Amino acid sequence: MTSFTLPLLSTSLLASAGGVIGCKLARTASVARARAIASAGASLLLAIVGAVAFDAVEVPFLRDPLLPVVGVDTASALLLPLPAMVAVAVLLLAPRDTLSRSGTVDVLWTLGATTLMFSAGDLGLLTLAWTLAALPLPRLLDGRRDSRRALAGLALSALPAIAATALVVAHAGSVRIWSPETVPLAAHSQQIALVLILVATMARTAIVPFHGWLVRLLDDGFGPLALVLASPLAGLYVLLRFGAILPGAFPRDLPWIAGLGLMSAIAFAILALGQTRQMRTALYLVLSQYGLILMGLGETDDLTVGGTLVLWMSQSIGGTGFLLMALGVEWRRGRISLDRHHGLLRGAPSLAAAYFVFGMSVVGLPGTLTFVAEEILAQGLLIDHPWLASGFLAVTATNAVGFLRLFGRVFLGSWTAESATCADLRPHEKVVAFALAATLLAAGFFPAAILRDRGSWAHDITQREHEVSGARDTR
Amino acid sequence: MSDPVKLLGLVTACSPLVSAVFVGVLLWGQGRPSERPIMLATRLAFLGSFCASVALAATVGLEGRPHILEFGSWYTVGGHRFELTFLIDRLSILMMLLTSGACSLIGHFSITYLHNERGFARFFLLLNIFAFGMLILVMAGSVDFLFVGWELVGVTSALLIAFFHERREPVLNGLRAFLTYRTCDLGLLVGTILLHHYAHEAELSSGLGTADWVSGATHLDPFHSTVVALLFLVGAMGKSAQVPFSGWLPRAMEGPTPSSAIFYGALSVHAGVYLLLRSAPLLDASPGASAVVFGVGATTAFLCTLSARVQTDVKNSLAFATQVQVGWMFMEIGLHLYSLAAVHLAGHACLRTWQLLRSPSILRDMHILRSEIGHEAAPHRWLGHLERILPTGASLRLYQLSLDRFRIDELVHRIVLRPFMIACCRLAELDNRFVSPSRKPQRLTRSLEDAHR
Repeated sequence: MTSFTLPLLSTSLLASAGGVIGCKLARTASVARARAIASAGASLLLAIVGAVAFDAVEVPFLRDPLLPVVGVDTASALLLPLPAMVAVAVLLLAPRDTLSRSGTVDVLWTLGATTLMFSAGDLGLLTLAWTLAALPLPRLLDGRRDSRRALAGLALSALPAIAATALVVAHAGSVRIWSPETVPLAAHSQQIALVLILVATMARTAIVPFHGWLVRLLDDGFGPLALVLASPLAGLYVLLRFGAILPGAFPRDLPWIAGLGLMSAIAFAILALGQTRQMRTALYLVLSQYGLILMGLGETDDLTVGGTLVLWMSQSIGGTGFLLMALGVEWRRGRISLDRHHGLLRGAPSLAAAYFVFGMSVVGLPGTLTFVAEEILAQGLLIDHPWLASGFLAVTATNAVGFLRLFGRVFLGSWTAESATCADLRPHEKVVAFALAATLLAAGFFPAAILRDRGSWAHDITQREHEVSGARDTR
Repeated sequence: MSDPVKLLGLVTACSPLVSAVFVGVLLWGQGRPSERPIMLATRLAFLGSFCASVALAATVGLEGRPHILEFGSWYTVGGHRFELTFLIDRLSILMMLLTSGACSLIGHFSITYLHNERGFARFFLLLNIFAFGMLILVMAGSVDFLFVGWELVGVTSALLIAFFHERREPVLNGLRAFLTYRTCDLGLLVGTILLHHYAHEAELSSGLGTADWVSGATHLDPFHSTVVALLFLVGAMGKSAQVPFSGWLPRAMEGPTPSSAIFYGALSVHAGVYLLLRSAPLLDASPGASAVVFGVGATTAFLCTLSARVQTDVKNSLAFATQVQVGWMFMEIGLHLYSLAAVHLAGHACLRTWQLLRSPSILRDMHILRSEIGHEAAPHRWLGHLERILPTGASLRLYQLSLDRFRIDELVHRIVLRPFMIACCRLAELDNRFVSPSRKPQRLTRSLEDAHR
């Protein structure tokens, strides 16, 4: 069996495309939003069904019967629901004014491109989808203040990836992603391709110093689109896919990839403590955790890579929820400075509770999935890489303190007439936030199934790295 | 659940969790729910937990041997298994009874004490989570599992210190306590991971060698025992407010009196002592670590007894007195007098809970007593007989230092926190210039002022 019985993925892509057209034709923003929610919801449902169907059969990959160039394998089956989940959360929870009609079109476009990227079976298609996902951003940023560096960052996320793909395709022609074969590329060319793809990954994942574009998008009111683009951490997926195709370049360079990730995590943890703006502090806390994920992917043992893949999922969902709550606070109260306490808890208790749960799930409260992931990561790191582990533990501790400081400044403090203007979550927002928080907590309490799936992927990744290292040692 | 002992263990630990979920859902749905269902759920949960712990103690006590209750593994990945086990032995029975008993008592007390308080539901949500965390901490069969309870206790503690969140001080003090906890928890976390590495497991019974408390022996060599014991000591010092991590405890008294009683009188402050008691086999194998434990306890007891003598309010006096007694417990553990330390812990927890719960009405009682006696009590010498021996200058200097709490907080702030916060702010300024070059630089001075706190 090599293909699904039903065209799940092509239908999902069609749903996104239909959603884009539907939103473009909508007369009002609220109609566009309703259509976008329906479209993203359908994508989510199909992605979950696809992942479950793949899990039920023991084959390396499954193709879509209508579009054989898209499908799922162990890696993409786990990640496919993420972009749709993020998009649904964003469409349901993002403040009304931050999503215009064209905003919903952009969100669905990015969702469709990211879904195509996660399900692409060919390297060229993957890179095309990766580039298309960021296509709406130059238009949005064009002409805005300080946009030059942000645009440069976005270009850095696309152009090196295209160059690396061109380099590989020039030598090997069409490159399959599922069950990949090693590309016959000279060692120095593999190194060049790896550096290019690493730059692209760092730029799209907003690793220091490529985070400017994400900050600008959030500052300029394009938070929802920024979240749909950044939260599924598609950059890391591209890095792993290239890692499978160019295994010769990877093992040798893993320590410095881990080091880059840790440096970024430390830098953002420190920046989060020094910031005086709520939104930036929240963003930097999440970006610091992204750095930890990059660090974990630079390791070569099952435990660390397995923990990292779980952290990937928990940060993707928890980080989205947390940043949406932070956006919600800014939308209600304007830009929040951390110079003083704002005391919003009394007027907006549900918003405060959701902010707290999502924030704690980002920094790893026991009972959340991040706690489990970080525990596994620490176990994996400490023995073989005590210095990385020390940095990792310091970052987790600093981020927890940074979050509690942020929460204290925003929600605690005296009740004033000014803080009374902050409205609480609306009933439908409460339901969505509750569902998202419950998902994170349930996954934290019962992580076995998630870990089993990610564990097998982690094993695939590390197995390949060990095989290549072994072959090189033999030579 | 076929095994009744397992069922009792599960009811003891999980009743507060069920109540917490119930209160949490009510709070989420209604904003400010009625007190009655919260009251009922909490009473039922704490009573259920207490009764189950008594039954468990009776069952295990009659058999006279420790029980390891296995509930499978929480997760397994890459050869690492996180086992969900409870170790029920003499020490955990003592702590379990103390925890469920104190929670029942203080839960009952708080219902009246916090009646009509705006944060009534929030308080009971946090109290239930704390009770669950504390029970996990004392019943856990592995250091991994103990760490889960340890973290929950830390987070709820910080949030309850900041309970009266409309005042600035409690909020800052809560953050300070959390900062100390998080820093010291790294010791416990690293110690746990190293224990995994050295002993290939983190079960208390086999990995730590504490199956038969207190006569068990570890199979780790002295060097490894010393490393793990010292790391556990760092964790214990944070939770039990020992010098130099002692500054947060007097500040923590900003929370409501019932939470002060349960956290800093009865349970949380003794979590560090419990951890060290559990680590007895490691300390037996490591004279060096035992000496450090003794030294930490002695230093804290000495400094805090002097500070306690110059306090002018009840709760602060009790906070310092607690630190002194916990310091004594550390000294007892350092001298390997584990049973004495356990008895001391139980007695101290009961006495301090009673004193803290009585503290709001103690001034009124004093006034009544004075009016009955008809005169003021004679002023006491702050150093007792020692004051006669010491030169006046030295006595005054010591008095000043005691008032300043030996400047421990100030030193920690000056040497560690302030430089760190300055570096954070400078980096943030650079980042702002990099990300938004055309915008006005942010004013970061206030952050530096906050670093003072």
